[in-house]
Amino acid sequence: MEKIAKINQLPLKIFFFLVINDMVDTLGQLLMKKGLGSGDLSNPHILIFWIGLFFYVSNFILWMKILSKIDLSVALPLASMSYLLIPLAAVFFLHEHVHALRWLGLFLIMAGIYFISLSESSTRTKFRTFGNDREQQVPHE
Amino acid sequence: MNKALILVLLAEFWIIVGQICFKKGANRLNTEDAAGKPWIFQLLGCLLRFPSLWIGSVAMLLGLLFWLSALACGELSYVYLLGSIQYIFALFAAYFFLHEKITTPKLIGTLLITLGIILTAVS
Repeated sequence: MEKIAKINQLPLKIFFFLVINDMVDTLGQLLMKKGLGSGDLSNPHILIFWIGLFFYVSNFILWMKILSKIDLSVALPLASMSYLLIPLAAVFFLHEHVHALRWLGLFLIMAGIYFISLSESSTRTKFRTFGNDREQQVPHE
Repeated sequence: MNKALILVLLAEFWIIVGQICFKKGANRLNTEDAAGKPWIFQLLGCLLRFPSLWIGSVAMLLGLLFWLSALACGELSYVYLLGSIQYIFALFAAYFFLHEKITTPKLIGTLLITLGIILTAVS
């Protein structure tokens, strides 16, 4: 198991970028929802919405940095620690009710993200094809 | 089929089109890495020269508009979890348009995420 973990390890720098990316994304989503409220665009919180949109768009620079290093089909799921952050934030800050089944769905999604993170990520390394043995993987540079 | 679900599907379609374009741009950014300039200037230079980044931005904007409409008509924790359908879109889109391989852990992960989405949608 140790060997597998080592081979698949993401570069630490990219991991930090992903965490920051998630936090900015969560903040943007929260502010946009807070600003939109129940859908009435003329409400007084429209400034909060624009700040949220600003966070959402400024994430682009960070995202291009991440995409230039790792595969899209790996980067997208890994950018989803916000799936844990957002329902938590929705409960605490927006006082939404999160159903028990929804927490179970959330758990399955997190498990799926974990499996995808086991897959090779670097754009530069050769890819293992479907069904081949793990030992044949090429380690990260 | 509720309104939020349809809006999320439309949003995710355009977001994936945008992401594919961004990734194509990022790959070209990689090949010109030797320039030695600070990365932010490389990105700005590429923004001007690569049409894929412009097309991607327009697609992302379209996706964002649909996404905002979806956010406005459902709870955030519900709409956002429905949005995870993008990984299934991404897996196949990356396979067909970017030639990224579909590996066993990727496939297991995507199936688990699908299950999670279904559980979320019925709750």
